[in-house]
Amino acid sequence: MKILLSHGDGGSLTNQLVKDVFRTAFQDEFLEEEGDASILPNMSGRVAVSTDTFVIDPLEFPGGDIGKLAIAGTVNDLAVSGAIPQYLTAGFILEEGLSIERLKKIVQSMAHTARDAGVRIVAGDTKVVERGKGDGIYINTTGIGYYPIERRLGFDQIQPGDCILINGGIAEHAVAVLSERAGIGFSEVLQSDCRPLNKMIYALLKRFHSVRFMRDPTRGGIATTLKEIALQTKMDMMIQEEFLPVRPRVRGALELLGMEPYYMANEGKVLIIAASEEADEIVSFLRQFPDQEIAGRIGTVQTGSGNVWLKTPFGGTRNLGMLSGTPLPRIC
Amino acid sequence: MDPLASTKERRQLLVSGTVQGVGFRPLVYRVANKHQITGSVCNQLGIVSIEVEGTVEQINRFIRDLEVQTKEPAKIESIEQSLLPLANDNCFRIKESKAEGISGYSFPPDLAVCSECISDLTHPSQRYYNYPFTSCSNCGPRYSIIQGIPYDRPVTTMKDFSLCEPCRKEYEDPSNRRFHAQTIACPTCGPIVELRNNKNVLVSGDWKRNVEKALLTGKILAVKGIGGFHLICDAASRKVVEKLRNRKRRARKPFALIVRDLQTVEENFELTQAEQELLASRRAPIVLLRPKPFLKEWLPLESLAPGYQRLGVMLPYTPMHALLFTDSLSFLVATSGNQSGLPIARTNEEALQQLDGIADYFLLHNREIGVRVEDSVCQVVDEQISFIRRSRGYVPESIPFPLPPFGVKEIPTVLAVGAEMKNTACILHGDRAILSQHLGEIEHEEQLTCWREGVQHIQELLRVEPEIIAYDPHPGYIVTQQALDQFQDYPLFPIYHHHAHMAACMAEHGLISPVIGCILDGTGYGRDGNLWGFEILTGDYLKFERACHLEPLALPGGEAAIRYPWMMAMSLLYQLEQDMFFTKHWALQLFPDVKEQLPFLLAQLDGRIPCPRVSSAGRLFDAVAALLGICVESTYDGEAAVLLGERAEMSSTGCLGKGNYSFAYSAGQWRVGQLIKDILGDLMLSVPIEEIAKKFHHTVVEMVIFGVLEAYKKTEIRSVVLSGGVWNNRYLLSCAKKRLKEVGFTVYTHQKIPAGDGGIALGQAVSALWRWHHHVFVRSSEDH
Ligand SMILES: [Fe+3]
Ligand SMILES: [Mg+2]
Ligand SMILES: [Zn+2]
Ligand SMILES: [Zn+2]
Repeated sequence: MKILLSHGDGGSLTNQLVKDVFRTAFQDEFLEEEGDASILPNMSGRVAVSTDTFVIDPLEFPGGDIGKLAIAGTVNDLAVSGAIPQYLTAGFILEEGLSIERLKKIVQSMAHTARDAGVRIVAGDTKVVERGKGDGIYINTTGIGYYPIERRLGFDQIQPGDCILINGGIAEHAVAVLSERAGIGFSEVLQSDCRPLNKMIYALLKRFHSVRFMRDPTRGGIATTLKEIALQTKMDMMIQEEFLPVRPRVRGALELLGMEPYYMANEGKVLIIAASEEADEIVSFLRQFPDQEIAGRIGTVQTGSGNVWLKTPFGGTRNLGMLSGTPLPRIC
Repeated sequence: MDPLASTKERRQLLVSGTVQGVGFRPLVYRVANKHQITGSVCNQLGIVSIEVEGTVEQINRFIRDLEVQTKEPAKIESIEQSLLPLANDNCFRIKESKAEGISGYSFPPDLAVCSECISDLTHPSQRYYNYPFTSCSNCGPRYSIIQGIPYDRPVTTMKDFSLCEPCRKEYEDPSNRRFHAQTIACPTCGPIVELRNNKNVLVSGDWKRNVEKALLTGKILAVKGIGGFHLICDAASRKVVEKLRNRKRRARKPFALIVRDLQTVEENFELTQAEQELLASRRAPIVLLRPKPFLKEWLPLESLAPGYQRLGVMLPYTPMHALLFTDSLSFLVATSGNQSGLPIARTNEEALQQLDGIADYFLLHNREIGVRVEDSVCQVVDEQISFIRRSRGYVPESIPFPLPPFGVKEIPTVLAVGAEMKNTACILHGDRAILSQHLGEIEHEEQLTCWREGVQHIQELLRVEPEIIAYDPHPGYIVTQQALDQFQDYPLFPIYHHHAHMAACMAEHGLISPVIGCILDGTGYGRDGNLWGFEILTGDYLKFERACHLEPLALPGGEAAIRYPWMMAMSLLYQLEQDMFFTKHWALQLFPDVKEQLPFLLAQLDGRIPCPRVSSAGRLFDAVAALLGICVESTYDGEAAVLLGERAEMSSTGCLGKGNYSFAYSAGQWRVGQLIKDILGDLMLSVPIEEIAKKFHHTVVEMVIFGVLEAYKKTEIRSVVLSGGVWNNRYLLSCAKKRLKEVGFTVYTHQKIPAGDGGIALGQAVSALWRWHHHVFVRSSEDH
């Protein structure tokens, strides 16, 4: 069975699809009510909202698929701001001809990921576009959560001397997607790091009180995220290349592609800026979680003027900017 | 006889050229006394002003004699004469320098130690016995210690050393070689040496004996030289050379040698007249020389320069270097004292820090290096000099270039920032171009700082501020970014990489009419956003057309394909059939070690993962070198292409320019499919690699000829310039020059500046000036 244009016209096929695919997978009482809006109970704190749209080729990749990504992405956006994600909405744009089996698999993966993260999917929508006008499936998710405690995270909390930490190997999502495109099988160990981090982050914030700022380094990698932080704080981010956690296979693949790990996307990583006194303990804490055994301290915040410096192993220093397009060789 | 000849008059002579810091004033003094002329001489900003009083005949003879006696490195470019009222002075004097007058003329490069100063070192009774900082008015450091003009001791890093009585006497004695030598120094009043170990502890005792012992026991020394630190060790020991390679993380890039003296070089290397003169000149560059066959018994040539037929050789150019040699040490390795990715160490502190873990001992002194200047490197091809790097000994000598026509009154000062690798910057001021010393690769912040210092140094010496900026529009070049940030409000002229190469060769030869440019290069940013580098261009300083170029190929992994020539070989194999099976088949046959890497490579070749496209000669050479198994992984810039050139030269079969593979041509592009097929065919037939390499070179030459003829059909231009780093390939250059002449073209090759990116700044600068003059203001995006 394939998706037809009439699956999106709001008629009987649409209802059938919602019932067979979405409601079966999400199984949420708010969805069952079938109202125009879900009415949610009061939350115990200030409300946090975040939205994101997910577009990816291929739809499935080692370590995940677009469904898992759509949940983890929005959940993580909320979590790194210090919020506790509670609810999600999901909007789908399907391309005519998409296999319903495939859609089911993706939606189930969403449901599974949401359950894992402890968030409920409370509203949804589906549209269908003509064949050739979409890449199979686009998903938008909006997340709602709340701030449990009056501890503020923000750019203005960052101080010179703070440490920059990361919870594991970088560039794993990007390389997983690229290796899928290159036709390297799932059996390879190049897995995406795509996963919700909210529970880990909740525990982290509860235990450590010097965490000043967090951000998930997705598109553009840690370099782009650090550059944003640097520009916002007008401080310099000094990172050490030899301390960057990169799995050897990831490094090997990136070398062949001429790409640098610090510009590559992550979907299960969080950059943490915290006081240096707590840094070592935070690292040991992070390392207890699955696939985070190479979490580490990668650099420090210094007074400066909004630069990201990469100290290379033999002493040269590179000024990292935002990534602009495919890097062209500079070697003549 | 002219009746006026005995009339007395007084004239002012304003002498420009290389006339400061080269013993020119003492020479004037001696010649004036010889001809019994009165008056004075003094340095002004960049020129020498002479006042002479005597009979017309005396004065004319004085001028002629002065011209005859001015020897390299001093050079008179022009003498401007005017009449003055008689002053009736009674002697000839050297006067204090004046900081006035026009600026922008030559100031001296660093000069190698002269033979008289060398001989002073050897006489135990002499004040200068074993003194490593002796110099005279004919020799010694100049550019690297100058901090301002006019050139005088107080504006050099010698200012901290005030003369002792014996030195002052020599300085003031017109009959002495050190008369008015600004760098005069002796053990009493001058700089002193100290030897430290790698724990920064002073080594006591005679430094010379300690150094000798260290070198003989296989130690690596960091030696403070003229323009930076060298790492120095015994070249005769394979073990020591390999140790240096390991510590410096320099796997295969050749090391240069310092050889004890000219005689030792003559005994051990084949030397042509031109090579001998170059080697022994006051400029003392590193010259690539062919060792005599027996030398491999004495030196580990394969460790010193793996795959090369020639070795970079220089003579000791400071007394300090000369003192490192002993009866049992004739060959020393001398390589720049830096960690890869960092500029060469300049201060004692930098060296102790940066070379920690590399050097066992540090030979230091307390004379500061004003500015970094690395060694120049050149070779002689067809009895003509060809620079691989133009730096110490040549910089800051100015290069004449053609000014735009119609007598520009106020010529603006131009700064060209150069390219990213092998960077030099260039300043045009008046009618002179000053090309900076080699500033190297600009990738790291430390290197950018060194670049800024280099540019600043020249600006200060010239006392100019740039008014127009020229740059390479490559979006990833750090110097380009620097130029755009620092000079955002200035008129900015983007000059495309290969246009700049072409303009550089035109400028060097003073050409102003349109030319055909054969630009064979690594990779440069082209105006369609792709990477170019095998181009037949036509045009002038203002504009260019792309007459013919190599078909674009995938450049998998961008810089990765440059580091791994096997990837470039795969790119060509894919291009051949556009067939995965075929490509894989050859990959596994030729490069069995890369099986694991193949999927990521193939995905880029067939477009599943995007990669840049390239049409460059350098990459074609890389690919062929990899196909032939000469170099599958490059450890330094240009390694594969250079080794391929060396192999072609080794071939004993086939005469110059004969025997080549076929190529096709369509829609303005050379197609190299058949070339690759033919090479694979020869490989299968076990044709010797050297012969395949040679035939490949001939093919490239024929491609160039074909492209030039195409360009000629459209334009009827007969002047051809050859530029781009690939022309450092001796065999290719020689063949191409010969063939182009055969078919009736006038050929211009680089002789004053490097063909590679070290020469590009001159082209950028001159092109920008001409564009400014002709109101051709274009932004890179509009320049189509
Ligand atoms: Fe170039
Ligand atoms: Mg997001
Ligand atoms: Zn001398
Ligand atoms: Zn003295």
